[in-house]
Amino acid sequence: MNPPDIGVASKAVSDNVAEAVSSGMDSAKDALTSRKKGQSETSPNGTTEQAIPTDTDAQKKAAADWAGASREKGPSPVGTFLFVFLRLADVWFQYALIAHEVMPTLMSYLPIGATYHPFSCHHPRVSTLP
Amino acid sequence: MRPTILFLAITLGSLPCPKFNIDTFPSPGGYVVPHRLADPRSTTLGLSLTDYHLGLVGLAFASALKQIIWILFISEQKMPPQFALTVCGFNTFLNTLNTFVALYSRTSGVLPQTFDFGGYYKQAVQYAVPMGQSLFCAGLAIELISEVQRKVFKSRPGNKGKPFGGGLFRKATNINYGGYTLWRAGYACYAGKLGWGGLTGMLVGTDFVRRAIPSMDKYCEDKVSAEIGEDIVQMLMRV
Repeated sequence: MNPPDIGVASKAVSDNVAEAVSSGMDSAKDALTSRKKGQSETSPNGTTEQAIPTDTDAQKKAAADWAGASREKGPSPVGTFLFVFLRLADVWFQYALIAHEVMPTLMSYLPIGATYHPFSCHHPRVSTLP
Repeated sequence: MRPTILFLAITLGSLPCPKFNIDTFPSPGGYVVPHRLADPRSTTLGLSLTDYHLGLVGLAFASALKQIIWILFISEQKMPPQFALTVCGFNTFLNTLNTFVALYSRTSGVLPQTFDFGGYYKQAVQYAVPMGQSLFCAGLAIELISEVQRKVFKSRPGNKGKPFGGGLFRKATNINYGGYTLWRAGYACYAGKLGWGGLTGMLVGTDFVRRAIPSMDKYCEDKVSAEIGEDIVQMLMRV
């Protein structure tokens, strides 16, 4: 009995391993691609696996609105300027609501019966104080 | 549900006719809390507001300043105009509600108490006001410090795109959101006492838990799985 040719055997084994790894890698890539696309995939034993349910359009849109668009890198001078302007305008707006009597005037139209407190400087009795 | 709709319909319909409005519905009462100083000599920074209402404007200023620092120096995200409008509109809406509850006597954090010797009123600050101030300062500091720590980490070469888990982020994954929720609740607590503060904190917190955090988790998950996928492919190539 001749001893087995170790060189030939190891070459065959390494070829098989390389082929298996290569095919395994390809199938892994395919699986990743099909999962991303939400398609059905066929397993090696021939059975068709259920496709992973994908998000609805509304969910995708909501996610894109908040997570996607806002996380894009890059300059956006218009949006940045708008953000700074509106935040500063908000401070002035809140001050104006109080100091320029905007909110009290609006409150007087609401059915809550809000009137000026007698202690207020806007009340006739107090405003006549020296 | 039906009485509510009926109430709203009649109320809105009666807005052009205040007399009908007052005569028809029992008023819940209340008044506008005095908010301007009668003595022009006692103004602070030239703004003739009471200390409480000046503090309210101060909270709006501090929160705006923090967000402007964030957009100019910290954030690496693109800010589309629509997103800027949404974020600023949301903040202005909540601030305006806070201003309203701070001016209405039944919800305000202060009440006029007595006249002082000069003939002007004094305000009695309620317990929720210092509590709201503390919550606001703590929340704003947590949000700002955590974001600065993350910015410092990501600005180092080699850390680009890597998730940051140090500093305050070691305590919680979304500690900056926690900070935002905290200062929002503090602002509302200052304006409208504990009930309004708790409600605002609950609404903002629920929004984060149900919308913002899952959205960001999905973003991180996709990013990490893509990186892991690349690592696996490279490892197999090496094998």
